[in-house]
Amino acid sequence: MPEPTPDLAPAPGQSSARDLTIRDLTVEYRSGGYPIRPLDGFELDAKDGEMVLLLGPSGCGKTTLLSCLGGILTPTEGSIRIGDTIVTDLDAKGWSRYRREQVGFVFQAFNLIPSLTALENVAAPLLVAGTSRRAAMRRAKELLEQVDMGERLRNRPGKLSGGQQQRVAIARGLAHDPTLLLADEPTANLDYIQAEAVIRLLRELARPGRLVVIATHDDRLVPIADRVVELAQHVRDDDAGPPQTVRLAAGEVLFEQGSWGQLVYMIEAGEIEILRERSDGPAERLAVVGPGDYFGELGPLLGFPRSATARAHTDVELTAYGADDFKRTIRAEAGRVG
Amino acid sequence: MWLLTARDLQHRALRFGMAIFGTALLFAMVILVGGVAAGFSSSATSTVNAMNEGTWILPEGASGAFTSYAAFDAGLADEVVADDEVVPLLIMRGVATSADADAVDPSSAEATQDIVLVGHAEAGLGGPPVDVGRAASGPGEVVASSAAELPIGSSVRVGERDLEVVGTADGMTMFAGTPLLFVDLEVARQIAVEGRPAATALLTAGTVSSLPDELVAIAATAVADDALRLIEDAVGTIDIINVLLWIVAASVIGAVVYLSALDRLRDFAVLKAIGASTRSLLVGLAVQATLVAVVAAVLAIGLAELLLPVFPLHVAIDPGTFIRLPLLAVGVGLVASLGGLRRAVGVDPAAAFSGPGG
Repeated sequence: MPEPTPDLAPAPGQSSARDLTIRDLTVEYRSGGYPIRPLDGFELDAKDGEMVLLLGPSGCGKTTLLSCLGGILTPTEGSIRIGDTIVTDLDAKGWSRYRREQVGFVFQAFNLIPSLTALENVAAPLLVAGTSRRAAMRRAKELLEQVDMGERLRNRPGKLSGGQQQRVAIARGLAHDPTLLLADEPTANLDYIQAEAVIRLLRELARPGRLVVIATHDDRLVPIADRVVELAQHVRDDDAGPPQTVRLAAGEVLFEQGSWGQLVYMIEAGEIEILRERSDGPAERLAVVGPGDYFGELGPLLGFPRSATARAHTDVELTAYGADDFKRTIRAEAGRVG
Repeated sequence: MWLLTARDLQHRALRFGMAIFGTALLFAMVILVGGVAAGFSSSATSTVNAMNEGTWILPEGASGAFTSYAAFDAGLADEVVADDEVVPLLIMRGVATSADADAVDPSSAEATQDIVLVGHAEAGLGGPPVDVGRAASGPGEVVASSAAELPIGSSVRVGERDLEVVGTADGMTMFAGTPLLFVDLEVARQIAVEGRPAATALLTAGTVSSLPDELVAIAATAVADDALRLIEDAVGTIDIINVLLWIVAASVIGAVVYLSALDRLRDFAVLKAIGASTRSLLVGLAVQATLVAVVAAVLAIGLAELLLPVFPLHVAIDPGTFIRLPLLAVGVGLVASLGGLRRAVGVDPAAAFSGPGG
């Protein structure tokens, strides 16, 4: 059994054999020559038996985090520990075993294998793990009965409704009684009646011996979760305060690429250069903006991190607006022009 | 993984069925076209051997008994020293007109056909093995290759002579199916050389120890090889077609396995995510390719047997083909499925997390 690394050691009084500890998790990849970090120094502690909700809009890193937790994506930095297993220390073979023995997946869009019956889909992880066919089918039948699909054992996915397929997918995720059940947008393709049944089932599955992690953008699940992790920092306009004047000397950085911010800037005097970090060399200058120009509006308005760095090109004076104030200002400008 | 492979075959039964049938047709054509080429060769060899397996004596400079019709004085046979009888033979290419075609235009394609006329000494070397009827015993009689489709009792005109068919000999063709007609040597001389005592070849079953300067002795195999020389371009073309058929068959198998792999990329990602090894996925795809190839090969053997009677040419199918074809098909199937296998290897299990269509 591997020794726990010091930074992953559970805090005193919180230790459990199946707790989840994530430290300084960073995932970086290139897109169009620019580095993208869907996760940057992410940390999380969750106790065995909890239902953890990863909440956030598309592109905020939910699925990336699930992939890292499930042992199918290597993070750039950081570590993940589930119980005694340090996932980030495993090699490819170790990952396969980890996935076969400790992790259950419930994928978005169900992702059942269309050529297999419901029973065979649920038995698939066990057959892959080398369980005898008879034992695998027996276990699959038990699980399907538990999720109220005992009557549809011989049906192929094409003959099942979305909710039924999702229940089969959950049963498949439970086939080898995993300590970690990962569900990606489990209610995304379901109507509210089917979604309610699936949520209730997932809630019941989070109990001692099993941690359930659900990635979703559906905040209706928040009340039933034991722990909610917002992956996109919500920008609340009341944090922004009234418009204020900001002064920077040439060379000073206003904000950095990848940071979260709630302010939009209008240049009153001087120039700002907009830079984008490249994965293969020095930052690339995208633009130099001057008096009357505004910048930094998309991150606060859309809930994205800053996509570039803003640095004073000369001594500069700016007015910083909250998103709502900025929208009002723009509308007023448009009204004057019209 | 066997369950997954079997279920996928069931799930895509129509696609695999069509691929198997298409590949089987191609394999059947491989068998038959190969058989046609082999038939050309075997016909020439068996015809020459049936006439004389021993030594053929030809005029100096002649390329072969069936490709060079240089007539010489048959009296030279007396100057040949051999340990067995030496007999003259006269061979010429010509046209035979069925006298029974009087009702139609005698020059029509149905009435006339190219033939090789062989004049031989009665009951001697150079005569045909008669399968139906009897050997020709007089100047007005002919034994025809069964390929000429001349019934016994019918009349056929060669040159200015009307001849009655008294017997038929199976096979006995040259130049990719041209039938041989066997007549008395004197009849052939009247048709070909105005009755002069000429020959185009001398035959002996024995060993030749001395020859006049104007003649050379060659083996029966050399005579057959020389006859094949005239159709080597045709045989070469058939060989190329055969290779193309293999390529098309491989493409069909490859395309089906590749499409199957493309359809199943999400399945592969899911299976990898739940712990399936890449090797097990590859084995599943390779088994599909092998099954398509083997079932198609077996079906092809049956199809070839069914289609065989339709072919007007002699088709010589080597029994070894029935063993070689499935083995080769497995190899071709596996090679053809490499594209699909590569796609399966390259699937990222993280793709299982992507949404519909993603």
